[in-house]
Amino acid sequence: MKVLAIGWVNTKRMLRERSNLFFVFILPIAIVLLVGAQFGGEFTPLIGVVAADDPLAEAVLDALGDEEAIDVLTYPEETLLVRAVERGVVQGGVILTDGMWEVAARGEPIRVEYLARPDQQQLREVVSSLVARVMAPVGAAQYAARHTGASFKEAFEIAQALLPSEEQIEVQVATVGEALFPPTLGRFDLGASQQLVLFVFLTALAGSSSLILTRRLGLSRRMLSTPTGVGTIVAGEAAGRFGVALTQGVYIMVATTLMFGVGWGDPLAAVALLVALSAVGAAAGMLMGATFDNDQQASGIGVMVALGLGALGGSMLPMELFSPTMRTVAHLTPHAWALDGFAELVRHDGTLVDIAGELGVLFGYAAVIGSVAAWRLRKAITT
Amino acid sequence: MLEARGLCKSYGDLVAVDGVDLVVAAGETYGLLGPNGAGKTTTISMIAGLLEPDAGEVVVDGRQITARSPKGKEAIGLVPQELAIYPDLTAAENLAFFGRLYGLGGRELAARVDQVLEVVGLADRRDDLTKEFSGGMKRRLNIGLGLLHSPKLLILDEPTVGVDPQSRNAILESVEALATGGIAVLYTTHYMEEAERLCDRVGIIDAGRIVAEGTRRELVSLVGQRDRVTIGGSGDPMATVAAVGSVPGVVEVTSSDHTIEALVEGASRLLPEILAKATAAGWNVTSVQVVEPNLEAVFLHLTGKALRD
Amino acid sequence: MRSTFRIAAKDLQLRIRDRSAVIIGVVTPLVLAFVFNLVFGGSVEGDVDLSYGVVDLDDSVISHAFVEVLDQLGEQGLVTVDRFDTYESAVAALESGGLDAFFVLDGGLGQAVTTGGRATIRVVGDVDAPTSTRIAASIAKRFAIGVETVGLALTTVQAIDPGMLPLGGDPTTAAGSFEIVEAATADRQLDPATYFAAGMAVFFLFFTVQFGVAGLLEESREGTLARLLAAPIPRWSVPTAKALVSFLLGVVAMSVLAFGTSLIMGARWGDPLGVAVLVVAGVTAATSIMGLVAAFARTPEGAGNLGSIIAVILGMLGGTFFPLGRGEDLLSKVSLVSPHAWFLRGLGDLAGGAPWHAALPAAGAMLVFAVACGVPAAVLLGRRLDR
Repeated sequence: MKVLAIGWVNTKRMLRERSNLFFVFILPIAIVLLVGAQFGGEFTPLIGVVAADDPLAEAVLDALGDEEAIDVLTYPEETLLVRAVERGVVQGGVILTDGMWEVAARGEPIRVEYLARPDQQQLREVVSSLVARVMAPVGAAQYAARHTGASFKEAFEIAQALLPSEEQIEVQVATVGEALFPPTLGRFDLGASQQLVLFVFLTALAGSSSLILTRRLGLSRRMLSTPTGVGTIVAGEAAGRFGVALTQGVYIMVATTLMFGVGWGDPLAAVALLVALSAVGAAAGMLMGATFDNDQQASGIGVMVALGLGALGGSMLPMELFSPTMRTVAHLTPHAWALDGFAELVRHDGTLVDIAGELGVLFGYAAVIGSVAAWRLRKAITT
Repeated sequence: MLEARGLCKSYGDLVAVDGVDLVVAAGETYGLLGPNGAGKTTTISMIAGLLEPDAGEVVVDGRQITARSPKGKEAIGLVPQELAIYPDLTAAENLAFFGRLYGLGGRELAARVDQVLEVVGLADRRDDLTKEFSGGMKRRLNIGLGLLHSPKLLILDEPTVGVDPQSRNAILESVEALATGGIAVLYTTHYMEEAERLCDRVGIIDAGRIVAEGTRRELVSLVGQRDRVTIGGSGDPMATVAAVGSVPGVVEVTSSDHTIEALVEGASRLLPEILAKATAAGWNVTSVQVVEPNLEAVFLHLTGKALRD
Repeated sequence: MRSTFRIAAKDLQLRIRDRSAVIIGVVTPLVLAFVFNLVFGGSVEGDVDLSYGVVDLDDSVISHAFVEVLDQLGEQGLVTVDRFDTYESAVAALESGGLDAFFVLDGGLGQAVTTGGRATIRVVGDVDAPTSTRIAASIAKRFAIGVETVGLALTTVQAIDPGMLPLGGDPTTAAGSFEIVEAATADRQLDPATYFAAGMAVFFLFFTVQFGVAGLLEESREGTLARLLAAPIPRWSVPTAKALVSFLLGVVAMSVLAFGTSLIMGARWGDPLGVAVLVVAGVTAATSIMGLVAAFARTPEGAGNLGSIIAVILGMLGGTFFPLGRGEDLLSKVSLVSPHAWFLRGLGDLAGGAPWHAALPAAGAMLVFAVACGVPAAVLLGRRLDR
């Protein structure tokens, strides 16, 4: 009972501080929203276009707009487009100048200016194939006009009419392999589990400062002066950290489900995973709270460690995109195991049995870190 | 040394200080006595140039003090009520930093730092971070910081709050020594004993006004209270009351079961005679207590409040 | 002025002794920039290396022409091209991650094209490399359209004058009716290492400068503010000293980070004078914003909490963790209400080796933040001292 009392007081203290409400409840949801809105779909490159008032220019612009591989953004003038390309706002730029039709009529080659940063030239091929499609009757008409004495306009109309309705050489596209992220995965699903893991740790580590304050303000000593054993106090502090982590975790799960329709898979297994994760977070927070004496430093270092481990453990960039070496490194962090567990539940309809390995590793982390933390905290309180 | 005239300060509708005049001469210790919220700290803040008064002026050592200008402030030493020291600096570093702000430097500063550390008894802890200090040591350093630049007027704002009796005694002794050294001291407290022990003159402040001012004796006579003599024992109360009442200078006598109480003009002079009369009336004396009228009583009389609440 | 320096010197001494400012201002961003670059550096979009394969089962003039097109692209450094003898070996290479996509030129392609029949070029891509696969498809289409254009040229001539064929002249010139011309662009985008280094640096800058301006609230709580105001120094020297501390801590932290990340992770911050201009403007803006926070807060903790929230919101908006918005959408415009965004944009403007004054517009924008927040902060803090 005393353990719960100490734990409850700690949870309450955290929730009472208004700024914590922002970091614990608002920020993670905001990030899930931003990340989902931004990266939820697959990445489609943007091509900026400046198109003059010219029939050929408009035809090219339409062809670019119809292409699935790119999205098109039009710019009113060249300087703006150049700046956008240079800044990486768009991945490539096409300038369709005035008088394309006249150039074509004179039988000269049409110049289409393509802009890209040196490391992003590849999209030029997409643009090039689309321009080629538009220019096919132009080329044919130029050739015909040159050799028959017909006017360009006349030849162009004929070539246009002769355009085959079907491509002579069809390009068939097929893909092989299993998709890393199945198409059924919602745009917020991946981000939600990533942020859950990141924030449970972040809050636990940054919250270590409150344990330091408890010690510094003499509250631990006062508790010790009551008929309460050291073991109970240590367990109570652990329960407090755990309560905070679990509160936040459950909140993120419920909020993302309700607001973004995020699926968490088998509820029992998902909660088990959250409990395991919260236990590791609580243990790590305790360890920091027992080790540091300066609460400001502890929360600074806590943020650093939490963000660093989060990045390494796949909470920011999915581990699927890591190199094999980095993926091995990632599995030194509890984050990676928790994310593997959530992926199993969400993407493969896993159950408790399927994530037994992940749960085992996480509880192992909690046991080891927790023991060291309890030992240090006991020393810190009693000496 | 200090002349403050007509100081006023309000915060919105709340009038914190309402026309305070204060004069403290060199070598004099002036006690400003009042309950919490009476306006002591606001008054002191205006005198020390922390706060701009709404009306009135402060002159220290012939120069006008305002919050807006640093001029004249070197004549004042302030010992604030809070422990205004940097916990992450050592005692010597705290002193050196504030010394520089008062324009001290070089050998003079080093010498003053050593001197002050000696005076407040912290010479052996000079290079320890003050966060390691006990409450009493911090208080002593707090006072040392006020003395560092040899001010002509030292203002102490409740310097003994929360101090153990030993340190408190040390603090009071050092303040007594200062006054004999010719410094003007303005001392606020709500501890009556301190004011009675230290101060040449006392001003009683209540609700932002000085309600009475003078030496202890003047204040007491202002109220006109007499010494109270309480004689414990057993015997015939009625006879004893009559006998004691017959002594010239005894104004009033009352009795209860085992005590006789007399209000007397000058207990020290009349006590032998009173005791003789009581014994003669068959009162078996077991205890005698004489209470002289004190500032506590004066204060109670003037403000209708006890000091310590 | 002298008292300002003395108070600032004392504060700096305290900050160094406390180490918190060093941990938050220098160590944390350095470690995080390093980790982020390690994790994300290789995968940031734009750094695409296209590896394609080709299986030529046709071995005709047409299929050779297509392989030649691929080789030309290879020579331009846009793609790498490997030849495979069988479909299976190419699939194996694709599945092992060695290829993004490959082309299959089935037997009969050349025959079909020369006889006007229909043919197919197959593109097989990695399911997780959609962009690379689409680019491969575009290359194949470009080739197909070229072939078709030649055919169209011939049928057009025939339609105008059926008796003219065969003609002199090369009909393949019809496919050359246009040219794609590379226009020169400067580089105004940060490479990943510099982006993470600068992003973390400016994100934590806002926490670092708090150690200065929020110190005013600490002095007030500790009671030392009364002692400072009682000293014969001008009143303004106290808040000025705090702002100076913020400024110095910020400039030192940013300088250490710029040097440190350049050395450790090869970040390229750009022209030193331009970077200095941006750092000074950024630190001034951060100091003003955190000064305003301190002016509104009652306790140091309150200032710390409010300041953290503001710093995190502005940091996220400003794209210090990931760029916000896409193209010219609303989110990318909203991003510009954050000085962080301007700092990164300013560095971007320097990225391609531009001279220092390329940073001036971004620096100017940050100074607008500095004035907009600094003036009310000074007024409010000044008023607070008088109470």
